[in-house]
Amino acid sequence: MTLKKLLTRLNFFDTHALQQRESEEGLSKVIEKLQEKERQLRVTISLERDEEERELLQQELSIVVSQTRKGTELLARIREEGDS
Amino acid sequence: MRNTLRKVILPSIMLILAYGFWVSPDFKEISAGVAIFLFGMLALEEGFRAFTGGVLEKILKKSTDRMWKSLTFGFTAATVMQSSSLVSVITISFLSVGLIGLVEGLGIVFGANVGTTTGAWLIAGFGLKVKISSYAMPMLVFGVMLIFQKSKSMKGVGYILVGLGFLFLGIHHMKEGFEAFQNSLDLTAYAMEGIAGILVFTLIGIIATIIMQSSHATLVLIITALSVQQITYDNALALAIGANVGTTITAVLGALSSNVVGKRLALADVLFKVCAGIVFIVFMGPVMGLVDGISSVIGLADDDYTMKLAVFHTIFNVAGVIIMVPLINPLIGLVTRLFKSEPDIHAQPMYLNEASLEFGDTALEALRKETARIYEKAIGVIAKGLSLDKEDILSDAKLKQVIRVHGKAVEYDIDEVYEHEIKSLCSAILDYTNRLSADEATSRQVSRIRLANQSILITLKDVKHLQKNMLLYIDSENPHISAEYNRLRQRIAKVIRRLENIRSQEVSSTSILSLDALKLTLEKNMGLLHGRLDELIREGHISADMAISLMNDSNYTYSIINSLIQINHNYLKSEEGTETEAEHRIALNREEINSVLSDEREVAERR
Repeated sequence: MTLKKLLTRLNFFDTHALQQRESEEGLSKVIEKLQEKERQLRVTISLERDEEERELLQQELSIVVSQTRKGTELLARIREEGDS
Repeated sequence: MRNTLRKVILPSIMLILAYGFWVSPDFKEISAGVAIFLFGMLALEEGFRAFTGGVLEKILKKSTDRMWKSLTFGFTAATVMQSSSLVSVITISFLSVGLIGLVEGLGIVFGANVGTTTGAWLIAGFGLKVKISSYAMPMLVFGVMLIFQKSKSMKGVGYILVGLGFLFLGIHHMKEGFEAFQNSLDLTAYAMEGIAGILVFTLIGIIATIIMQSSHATLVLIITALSVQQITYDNALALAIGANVGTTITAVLGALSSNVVGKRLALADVLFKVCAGIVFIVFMGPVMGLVDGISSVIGLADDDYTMKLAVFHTIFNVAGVIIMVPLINPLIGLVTRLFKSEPDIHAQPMYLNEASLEFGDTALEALRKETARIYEKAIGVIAKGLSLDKEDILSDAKLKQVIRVHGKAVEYDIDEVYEHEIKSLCSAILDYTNRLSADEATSRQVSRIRLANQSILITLKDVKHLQKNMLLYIDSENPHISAEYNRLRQRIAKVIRRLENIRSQEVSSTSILSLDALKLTLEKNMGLLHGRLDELIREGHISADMAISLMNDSNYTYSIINSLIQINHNYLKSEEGTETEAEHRIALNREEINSVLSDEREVAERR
C-alpha cells in the first residue's frame, strides 16, 4: 500500500474527504456497470433481427457511451481535486 | 339528522314487511324469494372474487377482448342456460369484482339477448322448456360441501354453486308467490286493435314478465293464448316486446346488491331493451312485413303465428343489438354520468399509518410503497384513457398488435377515477409528508416522492386532454390521422412498458441512467412527428382542424411521456445511496441528450 493510499484510509474522521471517497467509489462502481451494460448491448444488437428494435438498442448504446464518458470525466475531476 | 332518519327507516320497513307477511302468505313468499335471490348474488360475487387475477380472469379477458367475442360469449351462455336474465346477473357479478369491464359486460348482455331467442324457437317449435330451478338443490348441496374445503379455488367454486343455487331458488319462490296473480290474468279482457292495443299489451307483457320472473314463461303464455285465439297476432307481438323489456327486472334486482359498475350495467340493459322496444313499436307495420317475408322464405305457413312469433322475437333482439352496438360508447357515457361512484375502499392509503410515521426510514418506505401503488393505479387509468388495457401493454405481445386489437375508441371517464381514486391518495401522501419530521437527507427524499406524485397528477390531466381527440380519431375513416393518433398511443404504451422493465430491474442495474435512453427516444420521435406533420399538411392528407389537434396532442403526448419519466426518476432517486447519487450526477441533461441525438443524425446522414 502506498503512503498516499494509507493516508487516505487514515483520514477517516475528515467528513469532506469521506464524502469525496464515497463519491469516487460510487462513480467507479456505476462506470463499471455502464461498461458491462455497453458490452451486453453490443452483443444484443448483433443478435437482434428486428430493424426497429435494433434502432432502439443502438440509441440506448449511444446513451450508455455518453454516460460512461461523462462519468469518467467526473471521476477524473474528483480525483484531481483530491490530489490538489 | 341523516343518522336519526336511518335509525327510524329500517325498523319501519321491517314492521311494514312483518305486517305484510302476516296478512298475505304470497307476499311473504315473494319477499323471501327476493331475499334469497339477493343472498345468492352476494355468494356469487364472493365466489368470483376467489378467481380475480387467476385463470377465470384470463379466460374471461380472452373471451371478451373484442366485441364479437363478448357477443358470442353472451349468446352461447344464454343458449345453454336458456335465460338472458341469469346471464345478465352473472355478468353483473363479474363486473362488481372487476373481472371484466363495462364494455365487455354490455357485449355479453347484448349477446345473451340474442341467445335467449333460441328459447322462443324451442317453445314454439317443440314445446320445450328448460327448467333451471330444478338444479337449485343439488347446486346448494355440492356448493356447501366445496365451501368447507381448504383450497381457495374450491371455496370459490363452492360459493359460485351456492350463489347460482340461491338465485334459482329465489326466482322459484318469487314465481310461486306470483302464481296467484298469474291465474287471474285473463288476456281477452284487454283485447283491442291499433296503437292503443299495442301499447296496452306491451305494458301487460312487461308486468307479466316481472310477475313471472321469466320472459320464457310469458312467451309460453303468449303462444298458448295465440293458439286458442285469445289474443290477436298484433297483440301477441306487443306482448313479446313487453316481455323483453320486463325481463330486465332480474338484472335490476341483481344490481341492488352490486356496486356502482353493476348498477350501470343493469341500467344500460334496461335502456337497451326500452329503446329497442320503442323502435319496434314505432315501426310495427314494416317489422310485421319483414316477419311475413322471412317466414315465407323459411317455408312457414301464413297462419303459423306461433312460429312467426319466434321469428319476430329473433328479429327484435338481433336488430336491437345491431342498433345498439355502435351506440355502446354514448350508452356507457350516459350510465356513467347517471351513476357516479362513491370514493371506493381501495382509495384508502394502505401503507401510511401512525406507526410508520414515528421513524424516518419506515415513513420513507411507506411513502415509496404508497407512491408505487398510486403509480400502478395511474398506469391503469392512462391505459384505459387511451382505449387500451394495462395487462396488454405490459404483456410480451408486439405493441403494434396490441394497438390493432384495441382499434376501437372506448369512452372512459378519467375525471371520475381521478376524483374518486387518485386524488384522495395523493392528498393522503401530502398530508403524511407534512406531518413527517425528518432530517435533511430524508426531507430531500420526501420532496422527490412529492414531486413524483405531482407528476402523476400532471400525467392524468394530460391524458384527459389527449383523450378528447383520440376518441375521435383512432378509428377515423381518414387513415392518415388515425395512423398518427395510433402512433401516439403506441409511443406512450412503449414508454410504459420500458419503464416497467426498468422498475423491475435490480436497483444495482443503473435504473436511473436507463431513463436517459427514453428521453432520447422522446426527443427523436418529437422531431420525426414534426417532419411527418408538415408532409401531411402539404400533401393535403389531413384537414387544418386535424393538423391543429395533432399538433396540440403531440405536445400532450410529449408531456405525458416526460412526466412518466420524471415520476420514475424521482421515485428511483428517492432511494439514497452512493451509487444513486453517482447515477444522478452521470445522468444526461437535455442539452447532452440533444447532442447525442445530433451525433446520431450525422451518422445516419453519412450512411
